[in-house]
Formats: sequence, structure tokens, C-alpha cells
Amino acid sequence: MSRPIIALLLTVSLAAAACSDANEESSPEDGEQTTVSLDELFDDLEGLTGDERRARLLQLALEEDSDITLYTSLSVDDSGPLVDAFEDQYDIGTDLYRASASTVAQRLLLEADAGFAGADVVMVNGTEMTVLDAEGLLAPFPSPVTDDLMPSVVFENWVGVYVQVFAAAWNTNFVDTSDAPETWEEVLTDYPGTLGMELGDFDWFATLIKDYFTTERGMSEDEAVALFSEAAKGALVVDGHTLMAEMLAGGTFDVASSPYQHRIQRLNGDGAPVAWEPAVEPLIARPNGVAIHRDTDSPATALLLVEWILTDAQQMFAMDFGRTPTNRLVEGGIPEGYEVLTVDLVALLEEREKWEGLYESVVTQSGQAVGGD
Amino acid sequence: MSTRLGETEQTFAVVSRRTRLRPTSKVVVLTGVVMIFAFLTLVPLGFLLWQTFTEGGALTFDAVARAYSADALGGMAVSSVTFAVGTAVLAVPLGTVLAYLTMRTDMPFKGPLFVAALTPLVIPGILHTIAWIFLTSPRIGPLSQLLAMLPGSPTIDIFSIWGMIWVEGLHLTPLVFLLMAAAFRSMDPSLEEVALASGASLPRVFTRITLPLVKPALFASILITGIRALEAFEVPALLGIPRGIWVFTSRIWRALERVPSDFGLAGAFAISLLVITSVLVFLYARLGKRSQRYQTVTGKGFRPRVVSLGRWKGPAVIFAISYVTVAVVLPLLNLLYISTQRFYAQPSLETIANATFDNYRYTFTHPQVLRAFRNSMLLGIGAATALVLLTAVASWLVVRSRARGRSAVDHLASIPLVIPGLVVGVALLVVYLRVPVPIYGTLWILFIAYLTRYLPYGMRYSSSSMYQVGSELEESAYVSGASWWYTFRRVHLPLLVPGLVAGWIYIVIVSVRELSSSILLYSPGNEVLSVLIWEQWENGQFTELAALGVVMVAILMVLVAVVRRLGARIGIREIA
Repeated sequence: MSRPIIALLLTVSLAAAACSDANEESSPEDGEQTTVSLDELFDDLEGLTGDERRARLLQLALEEDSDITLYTSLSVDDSGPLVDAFEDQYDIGTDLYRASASTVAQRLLLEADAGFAGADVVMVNGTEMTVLDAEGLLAPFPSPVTDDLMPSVVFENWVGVYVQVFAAAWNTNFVDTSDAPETWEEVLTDYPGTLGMELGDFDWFATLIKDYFTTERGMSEDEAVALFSEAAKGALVVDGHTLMAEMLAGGTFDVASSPYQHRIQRLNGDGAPVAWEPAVEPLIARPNGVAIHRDTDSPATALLLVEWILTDAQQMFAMDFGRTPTNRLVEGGIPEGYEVLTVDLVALLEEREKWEGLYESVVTQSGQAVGGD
Repeated sequence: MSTRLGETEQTFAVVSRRTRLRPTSKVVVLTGVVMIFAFLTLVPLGFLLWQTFTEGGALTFDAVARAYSADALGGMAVSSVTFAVGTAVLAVPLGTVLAYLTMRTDMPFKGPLFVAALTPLVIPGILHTIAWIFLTSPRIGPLSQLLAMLPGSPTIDIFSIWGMIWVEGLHLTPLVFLLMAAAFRSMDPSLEEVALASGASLPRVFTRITLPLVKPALFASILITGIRALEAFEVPALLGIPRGIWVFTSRIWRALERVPSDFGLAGAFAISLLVITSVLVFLYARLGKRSQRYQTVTGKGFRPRVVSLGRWKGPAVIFAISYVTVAVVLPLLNLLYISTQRFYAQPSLETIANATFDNYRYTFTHPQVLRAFRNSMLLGIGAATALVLLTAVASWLVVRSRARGRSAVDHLASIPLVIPGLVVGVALLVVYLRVPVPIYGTLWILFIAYLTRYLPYGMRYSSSSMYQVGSELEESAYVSGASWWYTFRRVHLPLLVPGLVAGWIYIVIVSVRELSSSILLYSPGNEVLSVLIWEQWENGQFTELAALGVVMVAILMVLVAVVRRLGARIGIREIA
């Protein structure tokens, strides 16, 4: 019985080893070759702007004559119409792979390890984007379209498409606007037993502690962490922002500490008893980015899609998807005048372990104040 | 005389030719099945071990040390075991009694009860759990408000270990129901009849005669529900974490959600689950040593006659109605209600009057729904059919043969139970990106993932049925000159049908729901339903998700009813 198993294992492992070696050898070459052609592309476009640049880029893209694959964490209800609009405008076929930001990143890393380039363009949360960038998966992105973007969302190898805004929100059936929280201290201390917190929002947590509680309010880091810990003890900790918003609308808790503002806005538009304004300031924002995969074999088409997303499509993000666009020429999203703190993704990449660990130790204390285990 | 002698010689010649052929077909089929099992299970296991115990090519125990030095590890172990044991304690008796009533008694409305009993399995896990969150929400839950009217105003806290056990137990009851229903269906009732005729009461006959006869299926149910609860994800995540109740799988999930994922940590936890599973499978295999005790399908002709409930009919009907109301109707009604709303609001005349079918319109006009539905059905039916056939052969090897190392096949088939779906997905991705077999980016890679994930279930359904088939049927076939393969096809397969149909139904349903490996392995154009459901969930289209859930429940229930009818025509027929 055991012989066939051993034989099979040997065959599989030998085949795997052989192919893995072959791929490892070919991988850098592929990457190098594409990087060169991306460089050539940027040389070709050097000095061109506006319509002239777009026309030349389109010509190069049509010469490539290939479909393009986008890996994204943007929901299919938004990413579907987005690629449809691109196809309508340029008649270039687009394939879409949709999953959570961490799954998209996971798949890209595994594919890259095997020397396989599944994606031409990547569009995921900034936090995952910095990881992919650190792993060397993203191609440099020198483009004049970035001049119109918020400076805080422009990085060497990727740029922000829209910003995801975390805003404290409440259920208006249970919290009068007059009793609604006005400061983050109130959010964390005034609603014991009726506060909802999210399980994985360590970036929101780190930004509030570093850039608000310690910088603006003069607290020590320990004092600020203690504030969150006390809040978590009496809170319900929810896995996912969708569930958080639905449970808030359904009245499972009165106040939610970090739902996505656009989600609350949409529920509110549907008539749900939820509100986020007048906003608890500062609002916390995290860019969601777009980049060209370093191993794309259709660099011109990839660049065309990315530049189109950052210019023509920004209106769709603002008007149709209710997001806050990063292109300053496009109106929409968060009303002006609110204080917004942007998550410092570069610093967070280095300190990720610390903040992730701290936040986990905070949220695992949930239930201690209400008789749970 | 000479002619007759010639005939006899000819017969012997045929028999001996068959005898010579027998080992060939047998060895080929069995070796093939074992190799497929080994391939399906050892690839992800190997990947997990490699990730857990090596770093940069060197052996390391760092991941194990990290996993088991975590704070509150003791509490986590206690929660995991309490949750698993509690779930089994709830699901096994419930599923067993329901199966007994449906298959072995003259209970009225058995057909609808069969379909109703399976419903909680069909509702996607996320929706089932959330239906319960909203049902029991202290301020707006319909169930909480009903309870508040009772004397003493009892309250339910769904965010507790008891809430977790309750929801997971109800979700797993259909799994037990299917396993036990197959066993009861293949049971010779003569011993029960003798006991009843001798004046024993029905409950006594049930506990002293019926249950001991279906011990393999009962043990398989306990094993599989306990392990399923140990590796359950949705319920601990949605009901445990809010109040700080962490189990092993919550930790595994957190380790996998990081980028890059901590496979080592996930592996260290998964390996301890593997040890527990192996012990349970070992205990299960010990049943095999006394397998003759459970052989109820024997050479003696029998028709499974139904037992008259007599004065127990009233309590039985009340029990069935209560179960269906609480476990099926309440969550399903809640889901139906949510699917007609734009967001969850306390049910009232006003909200019901404002019901909308927009969510259903969305479901039916969504461009990907039809394609995803086709892909899911193709994969579900394909995986289920392949698995019941493979595991039917394997169960012969494990239960019937005396081959050395046969129990290893059973252990092999149990491995995927404890390997998280995402790890199966990652392992396949890693392998097929490197092996020159062009299945990456096709439906085939999903097919292999489903085969791997549901192999343990196919195996439990097949082997618990195989225990019931008496060896004399097989022996008489051999004596009559039939080959092993012929005997297997013409004797074993038809007699295993009740178990295989049950297993088939289960695998189709869970395949359609499978998400954790599908989400990583699907490609543009190869979307499956579960990915779409996840999409809607992630995007906050909760009420649209409920609509898709309701449609899915309706379609799968029709499928279950059809298959049940078809299954009833093959194999053992019952006398109503």
C-alpha cells in the first residue's frame, strides 16, 4: 500500500522541484525584460501631456493588441461598471479578478514566487499596496497625471485612486443628535455596552493614537492605548465593516467606532436610522491605490487603464460609487472643512507588527465588562 | 455425459480465468484510488508541514513555539473543546431522532420533513449566523420580543459560548441527519420487531436495539460534527469574537488574513487539530474489528418496514414541528423578510407594507449570477459524483479488505478535515503554478480543491454504509464466479446507494457554499456562486445577499427533493 504513495510523492515532488527551478531561472529575466519595455514606454511618452499623450498611449496600447487583467479589492458593483466604461471608451477587453485586499495580495505574492504574472494592473487598499511595493512587485510610475492628485497619495510605485474614510457613526433611533459623540474621547468612553468596534482596524487605531491622542491631545501612548482598552472591554467587536454598518443600522449597538463613511452615507440614503454628521473629528482616511504590475506584458495598455482611472474615471468614483476621489480637479466625497488625518502607510509598514499586536491585545479584551468569558 | 462434463470444464475455465483476472482489476482500481487520495491530501499537508517546520530551508519549531506561547492559550483550548463537544451534543441527538422519525416510522409528512431537515445546511453560513443575530437582538429581535412576553422574560445572549453552540449545532444537524438517515434506511428491522413483539417500549427499542445497530454512522456523526465545530469559522468569528471568545480557528484565520500570511502559525494550530482527528479516526477504525455486528444488509432478504409510533406519534409530531419552527422556519422567515427590505429594520406592519422585490430583480439581472450558478452546479455535481464513487471503492478497502495499511487510507482521507480551505487553495496554487499541467485559471483547479476538501465527508458516508453490508453477499458472488470489480459494481454499489445518495447531496450543497479556497483559485470567467455571495457581503449589499440566499435555498431544495426520489428507486426499497 505504501509503495504507490511513496512513488507518487516522489514524482510530484520531483516535478514540482524541476518546474520550480525552471521558473526561478526564468523569472528575473521576464521581469527585467518587461521593466525595460516599461522604461521604453515612459521614454516614448516623455514630454507629452494631455490629449497628445493620451493619443500616443492609445496608439501604443492598440499596437499591443491584448486584453488586460485587473486584480482588485474594489467591489464588483463598482469595479464592474468601471471596466465596462473603459472597454466602451477604448474597445480593449478587460478581465477582472475580485477578492479581499489580503487575498489579492496573497495571490500576487504566490504568483510572483512562481514567476507567473497574472495581473497587469493592481488596485487594492493602501496597506496591502505598501506590502506589494516592498516585495518589489510594482513598476515605477512617473506620470504627469499625478500632478492633479492629493500629494499625500502619490508614491513612487503606486498612487491613490480614492480615499477610504473611517468615521464614527450612530443609530439615530437610540442616540439623539444632541447626545451624539463630538470627540473621539466621547466615542470611547460614553457608550459602554453599546459600542461596536472592528477587529482589524489597526491602521485607524495607530493613526488616532499617534496623530491625534498623543500629538493633538498631549496624552502618552500608554494612556491612549488604555483608553481604547477600556472601551473594548464594554464593546462588541465585529469582524468586517459591512457587518458593523448593518448591525448599527439594525440596532445591535448604538455607536460604531470605525465604519466606512461611504457605507453609512449609502445606508442613510436608503432610509436607515444611521448618521455620521456632525462628524467626530479628525476623520481618518486611508488611500486605496492603483499600480502597474512589474511583469505586465502589456505595459502601454496597463498605463492607459491606470491614467484613465486617475482622470476620466474619477467622476465615477465620486458620483456613482460615493467615494472620495484623489484627483483634486474632481468634486465629491467628504465635504470640505473637516479635519482629515491620512494613515501614514510608509511608517505603518515598518511598525505594522507593533500596532497590529497592540490592537489585537486591545480588542481581545472585549466582553470583559459585560459578563462574557 | 461427455457433453455435461465438457460444460462443467468450460464453467471452471471461465471461473479460473476470472480468478486470474480478479487481482488485476482489483489492484488497478484500488491502487488508482489510493494514489488519488494520496495526491489530494498529501499535497496540502506537505505544504502545511513545510510552511510550519522550515524557514529558509532549515528545520525550525519557531511557529509552534509562537502558536503555543500565545496569551490565553488555555482559555482558547477550553473554548474550542466546549464549543466542539457542545455542538456534537446538540446536533447528534437532534439529527439522529429526526432521521429515525423520517426513515423508520409511520410519522406523517415525512417527505417535507426530509427536505426541511436539510434546509439549515443549505443556507450560507454567514446568512444563517446573521439571521440568528437579528432574531435574538435584545432590542429589535422578533424572538427576543416573543420571549419577553413569557413569564420571567427570559433573554438570549447569542454572543456567548451557548449562542455559538446553538447556531453551529443547528447548522450541523442536517449533516448528522443525512448520515443517520442513510444508516436507518439500510437497517433490517427484524430485531426491532422481535423486541416490540416481546413487549419492549418504543424508546427502549430505539436506545437498546436501533442505536447500537447503527453505531458506525453514529460514531461517524460524533466524529465529524466535533471536528467540523473545531474547524468552524463563521460562528466563532461572528458570535465569539464580539465578546472575546477565541477558538483555534479564529486564530488560524487571523494568521492567514495577514499579508504575507503566517502559514506557519496556522499550520501549528492545524497540526494539533490533526492529532485530535487522527485519534478519533483511530477509534472509529476499531469499530471495523467488530464490523460483523453492524451488518444489517445480509443475504437474508428483507424490506425495511416502518415502525408504528403508536402513542408516541403525538410527541414525535410536536418534536418535529418544534424543530422545524425553530431551526428552519424562524431563520428562513427572517431571511425572507430581510430580502424584501433595503436594510435591516425591526419587522413591523410598516416595513412589511414597504416590502420590495428590487433585491430579487438584482439577483436575476446580475450579469454573473447565471454563469456562476452554472459553474457552481457543474463543480458541485462533478465533485460529489467523483467523490462518492472514489470513496465507495476506498471504503471497501478500509472496511472489507484485509490489506495491510488499509487504516492508513482512512487516516489519509481524514486529513483535509483539519486543513483550512484557504491553505488548500494556497497549496494548489503553489503546485499548479509550477507543475506543467495547465489547470491554473480553469475550473479544474477548483474541482481538485473541492475533491480535497470534501473527501473526508464522502469517506464517512461511504464507510458507515459499507459497515452495514454483510460480507456473505460478496462471498456468494465470488463463489458464483464473479470478479471483484463485477461484485463491487453489482453487489456493493447498489446496496450502498442510500449512503452514497446522502453523501452526494451533502457534497453538492457544501461545494456550492465553498468559499475559502474558491476565492483564491477562481479566475475571471470562472466565478462561482459562493464568490458572488461573498462579494455582496463584502460590499454591504446585505439585503441583496439575503435574496440570493433565498433563491439558492429554493433551488438546492428542489435538487434535494429530486435526488431523494431518484435515490429511492435504486437500492433498498422501503415498504410504506
